[in-house]
Amino acid sequence: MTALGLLLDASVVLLLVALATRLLLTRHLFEAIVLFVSYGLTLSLAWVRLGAPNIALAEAALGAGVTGALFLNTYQRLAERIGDGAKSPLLEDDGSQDPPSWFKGLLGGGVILLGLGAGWALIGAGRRPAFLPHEIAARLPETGVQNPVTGVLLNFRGYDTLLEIAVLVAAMAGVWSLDRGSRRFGRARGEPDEDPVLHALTRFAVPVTVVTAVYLTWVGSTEPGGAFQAGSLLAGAGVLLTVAGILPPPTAASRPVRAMVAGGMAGFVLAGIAVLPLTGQFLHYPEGWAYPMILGIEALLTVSIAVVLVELFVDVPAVPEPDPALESIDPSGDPLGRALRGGEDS
Amino acid sequence: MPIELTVTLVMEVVSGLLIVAGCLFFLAGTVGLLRFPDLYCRLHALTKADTLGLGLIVAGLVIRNPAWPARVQLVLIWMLALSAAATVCHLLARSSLAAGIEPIREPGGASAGVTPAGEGR
Repeated sequence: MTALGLLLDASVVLLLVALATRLLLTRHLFEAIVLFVSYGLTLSLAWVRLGAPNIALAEAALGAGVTGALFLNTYQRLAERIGDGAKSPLLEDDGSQDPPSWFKGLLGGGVILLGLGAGWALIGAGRRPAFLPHEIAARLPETGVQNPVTGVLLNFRGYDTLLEIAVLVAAMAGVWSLDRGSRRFGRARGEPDEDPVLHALTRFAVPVTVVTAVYLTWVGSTEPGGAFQAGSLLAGAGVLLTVAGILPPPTAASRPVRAMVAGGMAGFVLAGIAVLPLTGQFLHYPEGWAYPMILGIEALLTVSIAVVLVELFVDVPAVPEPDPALESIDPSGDPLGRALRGGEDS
Repeated sequence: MPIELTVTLVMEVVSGLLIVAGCLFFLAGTVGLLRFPDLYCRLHALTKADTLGLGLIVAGLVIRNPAWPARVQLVLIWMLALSAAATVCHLLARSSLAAGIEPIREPGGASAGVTPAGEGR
């Protein structure tokens, strides 16, 4: 490794530790969100330096980008509900609800010991030969793809990926069932308040993004890429389109939206069942069919992931107003409202 | 000295100078972001770093990299970053004005408006 590379690695590591420390210690929610996004971007830089572009792409797009956008969105809703200039422990913690300091010390010391122990187990226990990469490389031809990451995700450990998309679909269902009047981004087509600059960027960037997303899905079988990276790119395009008011925000009321959200998981499960009579095992693709099946599942997953992410961004559940019906049944009801008001009656 | 070697040397030096100049723009942009008094000045500082700094670095890398696909990709990345940065800056400034955050009118004068979120520490 060159001296310059070492310098870069050292600064990335130091930056990560500094950002994480600040992130854990800050009492301002907004600052925490900004630090979280910075941490995610620095982390993706670290993955690049470790030679893991797949994870770097996913971390930058999902970990920093989409999650950061969701956090900012939620912050905005909370701040609107609390009102201008009002103090709330949700936005700014004054430390009055903290546990005693001996408890904090105990907790912190325990976590540090745990981290040191894990580090020692990893580094101090001597170098073992890495068996897993060899095993994967030896059996990669059977997976139907040439990218080891996609081979593991969609073939060897297909269950894991199936459960991941199940989590996304479940989250979507949760958001839809919580929906009590969502914010609507964008404006009706042709309304005078439309922003021409945003419009121009959208018309330029969306086609580029869609082409890149299709490429990432396609290339995922041989090189870094795949459904999650492509899906988050498509989601970015979708968010641009809805925020610029070109597309109406997708909602649960629309049948195509529901079909697209369910499509990835449904296709995955159906493919898994369809191979049962041929191979006798769930998700065990028959010889020669692995590549087309994986590509088809990846394409469906890309669309599902993209729509879910756009939905999650656009369709933030409103922070509910205090419900008089609820108050009359349970005087201590509306726990969220009480927390927002600063917990004055707790 | 053979002519090819001279050309390579000149290109190396020019590319290095461009990259260093680009880094200086980023440095200036960061200093501006930290030191400038209000949101609008900071946006001004930041977008100069994004557009010119990145452009200079990309130009330096294009000279350095002999592969044409990589060169085209680099320029594409610059154009995307350019349009995204310009649009985001415009949107931030526009929505801040709409939210009633007043720009500073005179040097050293205090803004009459609300401070941006996350700043009042």
